[in-house]
Amino acid sequence: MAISLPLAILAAAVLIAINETGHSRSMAALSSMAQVQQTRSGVTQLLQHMLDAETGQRGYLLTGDARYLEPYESATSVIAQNLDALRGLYLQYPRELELFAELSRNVQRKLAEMDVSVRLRKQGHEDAWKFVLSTDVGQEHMNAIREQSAQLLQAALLRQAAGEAQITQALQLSRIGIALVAMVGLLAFYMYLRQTRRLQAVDQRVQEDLQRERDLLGQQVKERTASLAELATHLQEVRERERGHLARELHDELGALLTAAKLDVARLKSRLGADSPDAQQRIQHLTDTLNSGIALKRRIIEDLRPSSLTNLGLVTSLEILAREFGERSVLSVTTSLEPVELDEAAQLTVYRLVQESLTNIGKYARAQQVHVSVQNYGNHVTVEVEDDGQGFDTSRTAPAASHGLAGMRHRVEAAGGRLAIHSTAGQGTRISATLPLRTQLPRADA
Amino acid sequence: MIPLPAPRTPNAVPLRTYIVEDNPTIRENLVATLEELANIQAVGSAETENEGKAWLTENGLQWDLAIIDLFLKQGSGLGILHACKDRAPGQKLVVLSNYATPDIRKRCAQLGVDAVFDKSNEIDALIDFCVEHSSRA
Repeated sequence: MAISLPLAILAAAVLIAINETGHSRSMAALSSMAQVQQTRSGVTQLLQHMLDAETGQRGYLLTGDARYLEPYESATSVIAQNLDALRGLYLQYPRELELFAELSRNVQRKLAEMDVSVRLRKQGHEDAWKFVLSTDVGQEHMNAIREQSAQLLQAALLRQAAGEAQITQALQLSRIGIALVAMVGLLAFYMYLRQTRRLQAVDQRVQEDLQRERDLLGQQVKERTASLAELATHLQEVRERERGHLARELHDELGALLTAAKLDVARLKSRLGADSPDAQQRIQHLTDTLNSGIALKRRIIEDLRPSSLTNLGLVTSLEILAREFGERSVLSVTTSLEPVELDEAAQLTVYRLVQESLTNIGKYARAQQVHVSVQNYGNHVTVEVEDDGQGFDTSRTAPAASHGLAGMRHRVEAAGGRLAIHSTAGQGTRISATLPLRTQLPRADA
Repeated sequence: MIPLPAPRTPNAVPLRTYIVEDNPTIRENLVATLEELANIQAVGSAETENEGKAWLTENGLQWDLAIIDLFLKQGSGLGILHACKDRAPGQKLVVLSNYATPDIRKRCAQLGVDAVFDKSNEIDALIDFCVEHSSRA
């Protein structure tokens, strides 16, 4: 691209220049050749008229017949014009003009000599005109005229040849120029093609590089996503383990302390007789306080690790969860729960899903009604939590809530399921999870 | 709840009681409380299934009441219950557990347990049970 375009322009310019030069030179040569033609015919005519005039003069001298004077006079009258025309043509050629000047002098002398002899013959001076005729002056003049005419014709011929040569040269130059420019044009075109191909190759390489880069990035994103998913799963497991550990600890250690306290209260109560009603009242209050502590411990433990799941099963646990949420948040919570057979991890997933959804509803939804449903479809189970709250734009959620939702989704997906969140501003939210059911093989002995 | 002062009759034969419980706080408090409120006499205690099972089966006539916790440092109270299925008719076997769920209660009933008490909420019922049986003995 860098070379071929200037090269092409240069070649075109050279071609045009050569052609123009050749053309103008050819035109000049042609016009000079036309002049040469005129010159030649002028010189030839001059010579012819001189010969006519001499013939007429001789005829008159010999015969004395006036008829011979007619061609003589017509010839001499034209000769002057001839000379004028030729002088005009020779003006631009100084060397030939000299020769022509000599020629015209000789013509004038010859005319003068003929004129003298003709006049003498008319006046009847026989001896005089015979003398004039007998001298070689007329002959010499005529020979000089012939020779100079021949020289002028020769010069004209030379000029014509020069013009022809010039045209030939111009044609030759044009030919060479066209061939050269054609070659250069072809070269430029070839270079252009090569350059285009090279550019295409470079472009393709760049595209390939980009594609490779994209693939690499895609691969990296995939790997990172996978490792993040693994990390999230791991963290969730760790969290559940921690919670389990904490729940056991609270259950065993705090439980023992509370039990011991209750035993002490029982002992105290028996020692206080009916005669100290005030102390009885305090004891009763202490018992109530301990019972609230026990209830609180239970609730914390249930929150940490729903033991009801293992003890009572999923359906009952969800019923309890929904009822307790309804009591805490003063919402109307309805349930329709079908019994399902899920393993412990999947049960926990469902439980946590419902728990998290209810928490979100309590925090953000401003709902009146909540419906929790579990439906058993034989090979899969759907869990739905629906509210009639203000909803949200699923593409724009508060970071905390969206992390909660992402965690939920991850958890459901880790269990081999799918999570769908439908929500429109002002029209409530429906969170729906589909989890695979372990296909129960028919028992062989049944 | 109406507080019932325990009928203390020094001459009555105390209820010989064996306790299987791995938490020392509960164990000590339980023994002290029951000795004070009901006429029982702690004849021994164990922290593991093997220990408890061995004592209860080898000293078949040395105890009247056994209070068993289900979750132990080693083994499970259920194993002890199973081992004591063929005890004498007068010997009482009760479970005191933190996991007194319906399922657990059902399984305990199948193993012939006389009563199941929740550690958090049913301490008073346990004391009542002991008082009743020690006065009867």
